[in-house]
Amino acid sequence: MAALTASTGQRRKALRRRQALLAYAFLAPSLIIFLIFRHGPAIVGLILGLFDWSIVDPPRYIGFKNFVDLYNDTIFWRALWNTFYYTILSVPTDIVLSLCLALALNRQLRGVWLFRLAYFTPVVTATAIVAIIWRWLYMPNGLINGLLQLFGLPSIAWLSDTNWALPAIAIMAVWKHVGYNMLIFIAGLQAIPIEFEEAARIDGANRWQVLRYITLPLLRPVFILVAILTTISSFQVFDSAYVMTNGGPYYATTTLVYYIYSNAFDRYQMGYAAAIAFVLFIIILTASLIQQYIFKGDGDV
Amino acid sequence: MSSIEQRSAVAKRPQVSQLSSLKWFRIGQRVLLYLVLIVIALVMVGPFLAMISVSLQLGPRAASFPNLLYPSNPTLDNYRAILRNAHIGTWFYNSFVVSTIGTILALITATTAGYAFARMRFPLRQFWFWSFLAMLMIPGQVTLIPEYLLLSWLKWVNTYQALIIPGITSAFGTFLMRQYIDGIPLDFEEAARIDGANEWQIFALVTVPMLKPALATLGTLQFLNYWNDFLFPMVVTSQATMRTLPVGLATLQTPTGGLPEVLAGTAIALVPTIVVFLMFQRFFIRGITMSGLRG
Repeated sequence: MAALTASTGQRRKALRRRQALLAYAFLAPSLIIFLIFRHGPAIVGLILGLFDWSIVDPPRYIGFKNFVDLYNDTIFWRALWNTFYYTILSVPTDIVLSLCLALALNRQLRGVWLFRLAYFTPVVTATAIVAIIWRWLYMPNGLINGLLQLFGLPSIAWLSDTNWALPAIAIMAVWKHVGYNMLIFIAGLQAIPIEFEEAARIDGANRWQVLRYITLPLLRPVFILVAILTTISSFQVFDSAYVMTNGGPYYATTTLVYYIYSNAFDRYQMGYAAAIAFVLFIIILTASLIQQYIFKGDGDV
Repeated sequence: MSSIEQRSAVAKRPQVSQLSSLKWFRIGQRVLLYLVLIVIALVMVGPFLAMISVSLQLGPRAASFPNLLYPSNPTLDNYRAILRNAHIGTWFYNSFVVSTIGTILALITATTAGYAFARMRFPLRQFWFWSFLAMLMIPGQVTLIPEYLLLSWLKWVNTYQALIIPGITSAFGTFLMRQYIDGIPLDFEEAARIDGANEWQIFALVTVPMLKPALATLGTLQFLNYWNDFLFPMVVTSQATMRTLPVGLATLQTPTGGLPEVLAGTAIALVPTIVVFLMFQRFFIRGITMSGLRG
């Protein structure tokens, strides 16, 4: 009897071990690559900021010196400000426009799919590629200045003017991204039960009242989500700043990621670049935590 | 009761002039809406149309306003020139190889890992799952430098494996597949198990065929991610012949033919994007809404 239970216990243990082995076999391809190319680099990336490393010499531990240097680096502060400024310029416009488009297109309308498709085209294209097109659109004799002159407005030296270069990139970002948020808003709108609107209509609410008191409050979780996702992605702007202006003129479009790139791959200051990346990580982590916090408060979406 | 009847009676009997003015108001609103929507559509698609128009023109003023609006003597010379002068063919091939192989491998790893997380019990399951999710919070720019150092240590710079392998695991993909597999009832797998199928057979012959929509969604997102990626492929390649299309075009010195030639190159680069998007738009849109609403 005792021998019997022991053997079933052993068999169960063996079965469980076989199952775990099988599970790890399924997990292996993903896990190995994750550990080597994601987890490992993430840990190294977060501590590399404590080292001085110019690739040629071996890395040297220098404590918080990189961060002290960052504090005294005017270009770093410029990059940080540029990134914030770009976010302030692009994110609110992006969200308001995409919400309006979603409200306009979330209805029975002939040819509505065609509009959605058109608005969505810039989203699927590579930023680097559309940046080449927009670099040309912004030229002194390009399409945008041509149109401005057509309406009797003065032309603007978009990408070579320190005051206009960053707004120019932000305008392109809105153009490229608005279709993405529109789609998320449409999905959010379609998740709102039609009964709410009907009930309000029966009670005599007009269209604006329905929007103001029913639709927008119910859309709040989606709105917050879109706001935070858009903010996070705008903090990572690089491709357009690299292709259209190379960080210039006079650092006017040097964003955080651009500054990471130029420190790491133009000047080979790997430790210093990693310290900037750490700052970026903290900013993005904060945004993610705010999102988590708000969603905890709101219940699930 | 009577008051409701009265109200509906009033509502049913509006004055004729009122009705027609209401009708005209509605029509006017519609027309205005369409006008606004069309103008926005032109803004969204206009840059691409202008690009095509310029790429079909020759001469120094082709790229300037207002010549750029309409090709009076359309020609494919710019396309021939850019294909001859730059490594466009090579870049296109590189992008295609990297995106295709990368997408296939990404689908395999996401599906097997998602299956393990959804269906199997094993030690450290929670730990690994959270460690995958945590990577969603760490921006690629933090891992970029160590990844580059690792790849150069492996002597992988300027190779396909450097362009492909780091991108094939995605926390989002694993998460998506786990969610999708979670939603499939266990009945099918249990029936197969009773019939004597082993775990691999159940996975490959029962579960995977039911994952087609999720695979199409993730595959479309992954393909466009690979095809459109810029910073990473730029960092891990230095030879002109190993560039992907966006990197090659963006770092291209203006060729002899100038802008129309470059724009012919961008037009070529956009073709696969548009084709993949139009073919798989349903899945792509689902992928976006899923990634947006995952909450």
